[in-house]
Amino acid sequence: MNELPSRTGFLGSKDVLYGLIAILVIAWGTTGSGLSWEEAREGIPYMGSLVMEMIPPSFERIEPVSKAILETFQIALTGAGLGIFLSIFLAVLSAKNMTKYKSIRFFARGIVSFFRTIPDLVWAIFFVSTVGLGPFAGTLTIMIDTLGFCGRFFAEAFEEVEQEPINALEAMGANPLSIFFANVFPASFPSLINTSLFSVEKAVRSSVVLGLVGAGGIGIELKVAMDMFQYSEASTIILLIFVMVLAVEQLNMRLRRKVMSI
Amino acid sequence: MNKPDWIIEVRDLTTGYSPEVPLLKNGNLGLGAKQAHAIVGANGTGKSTLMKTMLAFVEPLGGDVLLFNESLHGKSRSKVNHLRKNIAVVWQKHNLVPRMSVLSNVIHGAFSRTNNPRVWFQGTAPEAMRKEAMDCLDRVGMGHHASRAAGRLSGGESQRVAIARALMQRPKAILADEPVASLDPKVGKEVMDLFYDLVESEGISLLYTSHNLEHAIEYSHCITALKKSGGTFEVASDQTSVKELHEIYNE
Repeated sequence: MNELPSRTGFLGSKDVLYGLIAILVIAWGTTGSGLSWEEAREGIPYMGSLVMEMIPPSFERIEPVSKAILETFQIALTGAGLGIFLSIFLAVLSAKNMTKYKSIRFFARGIVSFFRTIPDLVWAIFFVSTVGLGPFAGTLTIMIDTLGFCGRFFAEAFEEVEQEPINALEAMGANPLSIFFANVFPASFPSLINTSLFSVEKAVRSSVVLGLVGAGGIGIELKVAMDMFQYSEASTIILLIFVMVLAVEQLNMRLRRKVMSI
Repeated sequence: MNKPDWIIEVRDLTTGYSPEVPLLKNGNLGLGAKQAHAIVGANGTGKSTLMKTMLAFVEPLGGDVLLFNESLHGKSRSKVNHLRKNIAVVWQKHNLVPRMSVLSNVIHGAFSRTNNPRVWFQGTAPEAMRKEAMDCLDRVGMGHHASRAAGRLSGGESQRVAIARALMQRPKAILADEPVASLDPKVGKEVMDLFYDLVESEGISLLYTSHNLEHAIEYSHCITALKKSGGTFEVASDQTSVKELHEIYNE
């Protein structure tokens, strides 16, 4: 008879040590995160009463609020559109099968990672202090955010294209531009559309909070309403945000299903 | 050996991916005009590598390849591309751009003459080019599939479209690396019939690798067998048999 596996299976004593280290790291995290039972217990009734004050929503300022939500949507669309368009160039420069020079790829990937790793609110603050308050700062923020997202996934989509047809076109004498438009772009098209739809969804969600730092859109309305204790107005705004995000999500889901069947 | 009318000539060629383990040693081969020429050999004797070396995708370790009597040795990339223009290639599979129409794929053959952006899609291509591509499709019996997506074709249909694209290059010769290896026997025979017809009726030369010895004998004028021990053996197709080829390439 073969030897029975030990009861711990392929877990060794080293793995137990790693587990313990992980628990210790998380425990250390809690020391600076202000976890407090008291504050939570005292805060819960306030949460309840605040929510009660939000009901019923007030539709007094529905007109300026609707305008602001439309502006938010426009910021998201324009920013995402510009970002998607520019992403194609950055993705071509960072895809292995499109750009032969390692240094260029490294540089393009570096830019995309930089755009992605800096959070959008930081970009928003940066643009507000450079191009001024208002929706333009928000649009630029969404554009940079989309570049960080689509730049990476477009490059991956390009790299996933089958190599054999590329080789075949290359052997015929097609130049890199021809190979991109006649092969790589059409072959990765559904994937590009899918990523783009996701990025629009993401843009709509992040454009909501841009107003908090003055980069245009609905965020500022929400902040003012909360600061002025206009909770019933705040609830209207939250409701509208919910409707907008949900509508975009639903539409996206349907479009994605269509794209998948191409 | 040095006849002036070779389209492709391989002289004493040694090739492979590392000098320590060459796949093919001291191979010789000549592809004449209007000839169908088969290359046979056991797995690992370097059939595909020989193909790639003839097309300058793999650097020879020794010996030389001549296209239209010009040695590839030390030639610049653009000069090699220029020589290669008159030689179309049909690969084993996954040749075509899957999400484009059959007609667009065939029009891509014109990349051998121009990189005009209008060649990218059939919708933008010049009318003369669309008509020429349609004619190429008709020659391979695929005219009625022109607007289908290339990714939805069967294996045999894909190979026919790949041949149409090769014709679009207006080639002097077609090279095919195991063109029917991934097809079922009946469809494979149909595709080989089509290749052979093109040689007979249009005077295009054909050089292909195959591990099917019956095909090699039936669809060629001349066969080059790659021996296990290295070296090549050339024989006229009507003077050999499956049994003899087997013995040669196990040498």
